[in-house]
Amino acid sequence: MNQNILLVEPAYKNKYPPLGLMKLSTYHKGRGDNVSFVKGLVPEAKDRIWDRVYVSTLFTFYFDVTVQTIRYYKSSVSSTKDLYVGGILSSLMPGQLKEATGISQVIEGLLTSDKILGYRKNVNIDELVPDYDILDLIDYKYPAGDNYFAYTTRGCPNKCPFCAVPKLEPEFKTTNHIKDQIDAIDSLYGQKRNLLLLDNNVLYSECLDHIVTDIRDSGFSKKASFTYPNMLKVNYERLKKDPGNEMLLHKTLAWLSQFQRKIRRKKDLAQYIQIIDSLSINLNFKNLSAYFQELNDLVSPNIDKSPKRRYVDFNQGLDARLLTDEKMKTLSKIPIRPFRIAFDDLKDTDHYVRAMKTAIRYGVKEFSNYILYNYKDKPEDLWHRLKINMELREELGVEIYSFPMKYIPIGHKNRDFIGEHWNRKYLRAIQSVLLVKKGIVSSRKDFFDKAFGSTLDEYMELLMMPQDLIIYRFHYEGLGITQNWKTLWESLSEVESQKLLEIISKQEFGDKLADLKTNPKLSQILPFYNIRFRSSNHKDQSQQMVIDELL
Amino acid sequence: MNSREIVVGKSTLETLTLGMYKNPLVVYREYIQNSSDSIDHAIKTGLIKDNEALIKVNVNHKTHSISIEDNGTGVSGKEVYNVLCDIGNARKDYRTDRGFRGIGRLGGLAYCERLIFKTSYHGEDYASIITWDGVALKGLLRPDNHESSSLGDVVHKIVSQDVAEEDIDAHYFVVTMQGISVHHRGTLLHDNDVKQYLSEVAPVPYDHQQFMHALEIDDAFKAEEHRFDQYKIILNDSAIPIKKPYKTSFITGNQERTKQRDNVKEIKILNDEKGRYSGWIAITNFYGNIRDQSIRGIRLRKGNILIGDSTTFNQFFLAEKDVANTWFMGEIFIHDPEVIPNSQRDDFEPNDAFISLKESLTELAEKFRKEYRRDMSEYNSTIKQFGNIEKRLIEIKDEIKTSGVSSDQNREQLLKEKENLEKSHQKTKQKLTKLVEKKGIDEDKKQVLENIQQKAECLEKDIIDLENDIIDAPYSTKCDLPSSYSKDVRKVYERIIAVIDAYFAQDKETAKNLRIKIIEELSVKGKSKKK
Repeated sequence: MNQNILLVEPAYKNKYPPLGLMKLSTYHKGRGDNVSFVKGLVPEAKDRIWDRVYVSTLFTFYFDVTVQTIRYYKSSVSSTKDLYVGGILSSLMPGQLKEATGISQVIEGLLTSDKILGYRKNVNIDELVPDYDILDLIDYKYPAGDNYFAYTTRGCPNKCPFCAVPKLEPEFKTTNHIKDQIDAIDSLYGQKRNLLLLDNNVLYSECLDHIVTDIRDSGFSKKASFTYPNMLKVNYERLKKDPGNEMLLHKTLAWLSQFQRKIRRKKDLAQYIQIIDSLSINLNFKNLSAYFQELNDLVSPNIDKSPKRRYVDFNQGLDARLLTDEKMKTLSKIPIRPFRIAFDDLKDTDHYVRAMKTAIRYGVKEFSNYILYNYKDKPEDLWHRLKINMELREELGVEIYSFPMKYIPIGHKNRDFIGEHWNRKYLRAIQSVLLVKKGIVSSRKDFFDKAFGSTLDEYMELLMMPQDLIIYRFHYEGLGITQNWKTLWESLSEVESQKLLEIISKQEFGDKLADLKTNPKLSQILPFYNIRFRSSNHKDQSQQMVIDELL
Repeated sequence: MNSREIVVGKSTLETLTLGMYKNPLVVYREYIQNSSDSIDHAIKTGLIKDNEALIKVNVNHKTHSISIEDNGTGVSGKEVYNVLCDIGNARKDYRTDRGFRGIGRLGGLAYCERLIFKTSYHGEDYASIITWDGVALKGLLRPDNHESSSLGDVVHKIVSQDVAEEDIDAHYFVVTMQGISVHHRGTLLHDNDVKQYLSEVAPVPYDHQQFMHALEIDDAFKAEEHRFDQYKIILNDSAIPIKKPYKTSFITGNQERTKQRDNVKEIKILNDEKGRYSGWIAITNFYGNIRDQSIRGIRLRKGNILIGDSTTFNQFFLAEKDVANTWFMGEIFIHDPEVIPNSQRDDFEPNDAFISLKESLTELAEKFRKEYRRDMSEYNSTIKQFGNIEKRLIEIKDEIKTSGVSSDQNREQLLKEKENLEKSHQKTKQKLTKLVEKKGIDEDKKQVLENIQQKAECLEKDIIDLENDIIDAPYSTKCDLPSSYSKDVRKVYERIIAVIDAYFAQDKETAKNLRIKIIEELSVKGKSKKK
């Protein structure tokens, strides 16, 4: 008998769509079940009894919201045994999740067989094509939602202690069936522009040649271009085979509504709107078929036919130590952009610089590199690594974006971890700098000098600077407040600045620091840390919210 | 300036004698106050030693008289008339002496027929006797009596002076109130009332047997510049001198329901940094207000004599004024010579010194209130709250175990209640975390709280288990309808079945058959439409 299935993703803001749930959707639709998808707490969904509910999980620091979501849907199944939880957090801390939710069906690792879910066909759900249709059932738009998501290898041979991959995918193996994956998506959902590869360490694979060739042959050669498909046509073809697919009908209508703004001629537009209106009043395949030819005549000429470049993104980064000349030569057959090389430790500088130069020799022009901090590193290590990127850029004329990634231990339930050489003030200072640039740091010299300081001393000074003086730099520099602060800061002795750091590290957001009567110099400088930028215009208010969240 | 002599009218006397004090027992205080001043002088001049000082109070029911005697310096024959007959002109230093206005000694006149002062001064071989005639005074003070109108006149008419032989080394002062008026015999001659009053008000020692911490307090102030004096006061020749009523163990709570035995766990010694006062408060479990009114409340004393009563300190609490002080036990000894009791001695003169002291005492009181009263109140209520949640959880669990869930409505109700319990549990947990950090919570209580915190963690698991139990509890109609039906439809179905079950309570077979029919009808959603 058909089952009613609810897929749930907790309401955190994430960049990538829930691939696990998308694959589960494909699996259940294949069984003939009705599938729904929600993000967060939706009363209408809670208020039903589902045959099964699946809740996905992500980072461990989303623990609380994840638990809340799972418990919210607990009473929406006949038995708690019908609620399943899976994903990254589930795999990393299943015990704690079971305890906090009372749910026993917490799945660890990959869904390599449906037997894990109590079915018997022995289907490897992890290898199914993700169902992109469900993404249109929710209002939330994933920033990177409309791409191919695939992988050619699982696991990573490096067992870096800061990384969760060894726990999530303990074994390294090449699984490559990229061609099938892309073909399947193309035939089902129409072509996607870019390819996001979730490999953790593709360079380790002995089949790298093969993998790259397959990627190239799947439409990602260096010269490959892309034009957006006519989704009306793609969906119509699908509906012909599956006319009762209401989800797809709605998706088609949503696409048509979106496309409205691309209709150039006024006369056409009026006609187009009329058709959409009548379609939306009575949405079924029969009606759509009746209008299809007319609609398609309006859509086709307005489709953007200019060829676009398409890119391959090894999203998890490439291992600098393994990037030999030979491998780089292989990689250079496909349009990788951005090229990501991790720079996790200052000790890796030699490997890193060599790898960068190798890549540049093969024509790579744009890098986007992960830089781990707040781990065992010292605060100055971050500056040195950013400086190396800046110098490489100056020397070799390429663009390098740095992605400083704050380390949080696996299993930590929130984000307030402080590394052994770090403190809260320094972390906030870094986050304040990143906030202005949305987390990405350009390596342009002028930017680097301004944002992080042209010398180590300037950098250390920046770390001590009151938060709002960093975020609203020009505002406070213009007022002369920053200079006043600097003068006071420079007058402090070693002991005094230590004391100051101690005090401001304890400051909670919104806390006013009390006057320190015992030391006149400190009592002069402390009020600078109470400065809160307040702007009346809305744009800045939204930024204020971001800042509030940051703290 | 006008050179005319100012006449002080006789009715002034009335205000001094008849109208000054609300509580007649205050006369004891006034005489003891004078006695203690006199003893201080005697000790200072080496006339007697510390341990020889004695104040004897005798209450005679047969003769309706009261006498209060001390072995202080006495008053010399030369001065006696002026000292004892001048009004409001005491030669005392307000800065050091307890009584300084020179009016208190006439207080007794209001309650007796004759007020007799007998005193002998060391080195004089006679005793002076001054008698005030209370009956005559009342006669003269009647408004229709125009015999004498000035104060001096009246005093001359009612005061008589006499002399008696006395040992040359004798030194004492006795005040005797003879013929206590009928109205006041009940109070003034009531042994227990007098004893109670003296124990609370007079500058007497602590009862070391009942109050374990007495020695600690004595020791703390012995070395102090501002030591406070204690006098041996004997009532009716009793073998046991009067002691302050403080005790280690006491009852809290005014009602049987809230009654609890509490005890003093330690003493916190207080010392004003400016030296204006010192004192102590008892650290107890602070279960509630102290029932025994003779020990409750922080009290103010000057020269170790109580100022006001157990409620005088209430004014320093910023909130819960009348309640807060009843939770505490303690004494504040005022040393600041500029802080002066008012003439009623029920509070202080509102001068600058007092205003500044008030600030400091308010700060102190607020600190106590927050740290002890509020924290403890919170402590006790949090523990209670936790117990209630725990209890209710077990009840629900048992309920489900024994009788299951009777309907989806019931299930919803239980889930709702579980949710509420969980919310209050979260609140309790937050309170616990805050409480552990509070200053008013001592190590023992911290331990208790930490144990509860551990239990609270377990309780969280219990709540989750309960949630599972409620959801998973088998219930007869839960699986009747296909899952495609919404909860609302299910609820209606539940209610219909509930009505059927109730209606056919005597005919379960029919009820069952009806239900099967309904299930069949509803087994496919929308089936009947197609028909």
